[in-house]
Amino acid sequence: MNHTPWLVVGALVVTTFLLKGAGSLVMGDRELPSWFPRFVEYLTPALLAVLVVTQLVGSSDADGLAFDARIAGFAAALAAWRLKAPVPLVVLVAAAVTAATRALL
Amino acid sequence: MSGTEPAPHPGDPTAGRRAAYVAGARAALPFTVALFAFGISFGVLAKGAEFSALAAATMSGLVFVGSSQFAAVSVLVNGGGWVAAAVAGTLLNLRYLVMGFAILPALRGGRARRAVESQLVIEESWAIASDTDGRFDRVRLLSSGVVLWLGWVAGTLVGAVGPIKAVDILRLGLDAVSPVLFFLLIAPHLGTARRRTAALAAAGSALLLTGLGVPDIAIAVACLIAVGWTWRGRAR
Repeated sequence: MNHTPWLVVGALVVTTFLLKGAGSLVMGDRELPSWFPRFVEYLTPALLAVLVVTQLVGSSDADGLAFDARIAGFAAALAAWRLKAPVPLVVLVAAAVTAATRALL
Repeated sequence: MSGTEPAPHPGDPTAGRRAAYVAGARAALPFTVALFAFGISFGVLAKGAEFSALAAATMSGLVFVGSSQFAAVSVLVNGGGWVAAAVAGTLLNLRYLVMGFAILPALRGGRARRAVESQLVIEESWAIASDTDGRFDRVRLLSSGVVLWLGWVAGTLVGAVGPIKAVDILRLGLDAVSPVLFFLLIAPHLGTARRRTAALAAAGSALLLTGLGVPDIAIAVACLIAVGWTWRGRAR
């Protein structure tokens, strides 16, 4: 039996638990500093903006920017969103337009 | 979208909680569809790296971070050792240090319980749980986290056990779903000019860093931007 997978699983489970739980493990019952809520107020839009950009033009197997069919799907979804389409429809539009553009290219 | 509105709670706290549970679960659903598909691809990848279905499902259930798991298993597939794999996966999880601290004031109970509840934090549940005033809703975190977790673990099992060779995420256009959903989640957080400039600065640096081939640094830069904006706001 190959033990390598379980070694990786064990190690990554431990580090992930510590990283995700670090807040309460470190802080205990102490209060966070008073500037912290304001930091989070800016952190949230900044972090989400990073996620939008990296998932829209990032690429897992190539370095650099990858402008592909996702852009078309994103633009179409944006239009649907501006027209006040419900979220499931916006998502469907994104996937369908991306798939169609990719098939045509 | 509905998941980012504060739950209605005047008068009846139980009804407010129930509404928050439903709002979180509902907001998580479109993400879960995408996560299920990614879970299948992860299961397939893990199977190729000689993971048993139990090992793959254990990893998804206890780590519960797609990018980190993909990175770790990819290192093995490319011939790396278990230490290199674990380090790669851990580095991609560093962002949860910040996100975990951010959500801390919303959690309840003792140290251990809060640490365990924090495990349901992934980007999607964190974003769904965030209110526009910089606070977080614990109930929406837990309900969206559980729904996303079920999709991720179920997808992993299907991929690891089933006869599927690969899900064609590209052919189905599923890779466009995440950026769109994160865009929908960001919209309520752009209420003030300073939040908008923070988001724009972060988006610009993410574009630049992705172009330079180091997109993973963008998260750290976003934290620095938030620190800078907090610092500047202090003087006013």
